[in-house]
Amino acid sequence: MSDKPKIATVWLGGCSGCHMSLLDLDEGLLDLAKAATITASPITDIKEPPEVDVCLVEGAVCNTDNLEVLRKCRERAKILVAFGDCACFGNIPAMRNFISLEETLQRGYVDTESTASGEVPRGEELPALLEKVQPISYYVKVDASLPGCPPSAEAILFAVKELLSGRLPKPEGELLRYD
Amino acid sequence: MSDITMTIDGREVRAKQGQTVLEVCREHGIYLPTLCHWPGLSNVGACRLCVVEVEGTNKLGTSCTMPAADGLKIRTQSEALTARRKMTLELLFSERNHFCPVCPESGACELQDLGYRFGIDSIRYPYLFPALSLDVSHDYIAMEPSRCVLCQRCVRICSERVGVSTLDFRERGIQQMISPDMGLPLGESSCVSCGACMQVCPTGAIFAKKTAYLERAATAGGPQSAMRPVASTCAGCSLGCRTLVQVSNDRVVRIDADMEAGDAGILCRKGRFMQMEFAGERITQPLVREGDTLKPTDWDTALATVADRLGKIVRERGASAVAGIASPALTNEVLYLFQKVMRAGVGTGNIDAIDGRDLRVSRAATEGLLGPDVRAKVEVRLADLDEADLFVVIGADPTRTHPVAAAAIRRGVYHRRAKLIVINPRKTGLTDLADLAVQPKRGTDGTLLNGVMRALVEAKGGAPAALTAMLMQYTPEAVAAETGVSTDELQQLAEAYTAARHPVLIYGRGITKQNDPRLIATMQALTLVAGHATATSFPILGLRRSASSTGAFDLGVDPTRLPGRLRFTPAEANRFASAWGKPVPEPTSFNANEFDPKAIGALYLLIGDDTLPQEEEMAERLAELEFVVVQATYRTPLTEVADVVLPAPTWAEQSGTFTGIDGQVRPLRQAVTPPEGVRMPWDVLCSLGNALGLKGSYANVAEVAHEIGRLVPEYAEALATGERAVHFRDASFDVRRSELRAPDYLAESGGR
Repeated sequence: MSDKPKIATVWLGGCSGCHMSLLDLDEGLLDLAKAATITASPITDIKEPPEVDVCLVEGAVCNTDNLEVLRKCRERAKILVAFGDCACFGNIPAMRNFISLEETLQRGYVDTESTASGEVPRGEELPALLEKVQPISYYVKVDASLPGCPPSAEAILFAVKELLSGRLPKPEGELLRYD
Repeated sequence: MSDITMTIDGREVRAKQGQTVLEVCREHGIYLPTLCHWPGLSNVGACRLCVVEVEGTNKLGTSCTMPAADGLKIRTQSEALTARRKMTLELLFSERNHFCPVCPESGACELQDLGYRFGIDSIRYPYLFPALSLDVSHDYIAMEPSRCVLCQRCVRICSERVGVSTLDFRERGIQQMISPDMGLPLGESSCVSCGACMQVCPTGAIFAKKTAYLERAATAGGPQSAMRPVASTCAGCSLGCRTLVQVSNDRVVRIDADMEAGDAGILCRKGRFMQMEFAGERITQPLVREGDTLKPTDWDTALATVADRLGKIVRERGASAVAGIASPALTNEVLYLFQKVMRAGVGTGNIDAIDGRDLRVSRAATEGLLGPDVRAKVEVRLADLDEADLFVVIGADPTRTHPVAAAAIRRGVYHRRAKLIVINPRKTGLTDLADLAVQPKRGTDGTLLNGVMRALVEAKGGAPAALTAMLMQYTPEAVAAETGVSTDELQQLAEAYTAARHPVLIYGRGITKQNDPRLIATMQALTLVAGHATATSFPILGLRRSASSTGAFDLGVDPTRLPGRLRFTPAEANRFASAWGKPVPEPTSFNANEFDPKAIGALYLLIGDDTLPQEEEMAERLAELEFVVVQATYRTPLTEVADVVLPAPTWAEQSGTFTGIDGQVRPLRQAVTPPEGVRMPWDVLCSLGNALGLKGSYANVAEVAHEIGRLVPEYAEALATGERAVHFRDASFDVRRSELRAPDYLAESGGR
């Protein structure tokens, strides 16, 4: 068991769509589980990533918590993979970069169509929004990137196979999509 | 252009002096990435993707602007070039906001394609995330600067092809923006809504406000919904611009100009946008009147009703009590069958196109000059406007009615310094652009033209004695007094026309609606006297209303002509009678604009999806008739007064041909399926013909075209190949043999 490579996955400021696409591996997940140990992941619900060989990071860096988790993952992973467009490029979460934080919070918590009397949540335990949403490469060194919104199951399978074979995946052709 | 030899990637290739290195590479199938290049537009070297290595220098050069030269040695591929191109793309991606997942152009974006091709999976530069505003002020065209790569294709096409130069730059460097009219929202700008910018934009920076995401579903939605182009012709006016109708899931999602068809490669507001507004209550079943209401019925009943009622009126009041009017926005095949069914089926010669008068008045002018048996087309083509050094636009506002012709005028004025003279009692869209705009009083155009001709003859001679004598009364003072145009302006007009080497006179409904052939004959005489006529044409362009206005006239949708523009002679009448199996009625003086509702008992109105002028007034007149059939696509005031309503397809749902004002026969190709219950107009007319005693049937629209080709030999090749224009002239035809008989231009009074 301990000879199998260890994988962690995490989602930051993302919609979890990349992880849904990962689940789209379907029975391929069983093969993955045989070939590697999936440690911390929203799927396994193990919260703290240990030292791992590969960490897939979904989502952009939107708040202080995202940043903290990202840095932890970078420390503990030999290979860090930007997983999906948000992690690679910023993508949809980064669209709030064109309006102020105040406007964002107001629109998100108070002016929503489904809220009767909203309030912007405050509290020390809550992560603060960062000024600008950034791709993860803005903060840490990224070893490989897998764009897609989400990347297809085939692209994910390709990337995982490459990684398990000791290579950094370079998606191309049909496997490289920004949409 | 002389041949030269250059070396590309170690391979010798032949090229021609005057080509760019990019053109040479493309010709030889050598790949070079581009983003700002567009064939036919000027090259600017803005995007820097097409850079190549040039032996003998360590500078990279943009191949799109580099002239091919003898002995030039270049490399199109190398590690350094690839690295440079990737860097350029990453800079572009990081500079603005390219969010593919929400972009309408995803799947059809040249920037995205380049990203994929170069394997760009990460951007090494920090994103700038500039806050740029979307402009959706325009009815049809949206501009999203976040997706702009400043390739400036839009700026160039707006200037070089459309001639309005609405789009240009403001600011510089990182601040540079594409801007309408130096900072106006597009919807408030001088934009003429042609959409050319949208078509050439490589990204989603300029997109179709109303249909963008429809297209996206088509481009990114997989093979089932994949967008496919149908090469067709615009049905919006008589210019016949070639289109690519983009279809997905049996729906028109976009109309593009066919930029490789050899014409200017632009469309207009009508052709690109309004033609997609399939608005209105669709008629999908035949309707027959019962009292106050129209009740749905089946085709057999409806057609039997039409045949019975028409037959009854013919028996009771004679065939001349029946009339037929067709929209010339229909195809040649439908128009031909229409006149056949009316003439041979019903037995009436009362047929006309909605704008038949325009064609008749022009034809009368030509026949006055050249003789009554001349059938030849004598006017120039839209393409000839690109040679003109003077445009005289009289009684027309092409900016409204034929915008692609207006673009040709603007190109001449801006790019060739052609002169523009506008003659119109009212201000037009070209007035501000004109070197001279004169506003003669209504109805005085003839006097004005005669005044110009007099000045021309005084200066250069060239007119026969009788004409010269007649012109003498048109002194500047007399002309000024009648027209209200100053002697100064008159002199300028005359001088400009005299000095021009390739003037073109463009006229429109302002002239034809006066219903006076002498106006057009005067224009023709003017060009003859000035020496500008060629063997085949007067340098005059008459802007006709509809896609096949010319086709309608060519194929006999006219009370005075048989198909082939033939006058009625016993021989011709017999030829058609034999072909159709029934006698052919005599010509009449029926007129679609002014028919007497008391003399006409029944009217067959074939509209299709056309919108007729003054529908309410026409409906009032129709309501007085005994029996009215309307074959139309949508419910309108006209269908509401009909006794029988027959469904018709839209332009997008049928195939056939149109004949444009240049005589060119162009295809309309069916792009989408009509709703259940709607039959093709040619099929309906065939069935109606059978019900009225005509023999024969057609398996498809091509068979109708064959019949036309057999009876109108001039159309045979044009219909079969789509290559030939139809001119109805022979080798000996020469416009310059016109007899300038003075009395033809003299009016009884007032010199009109």
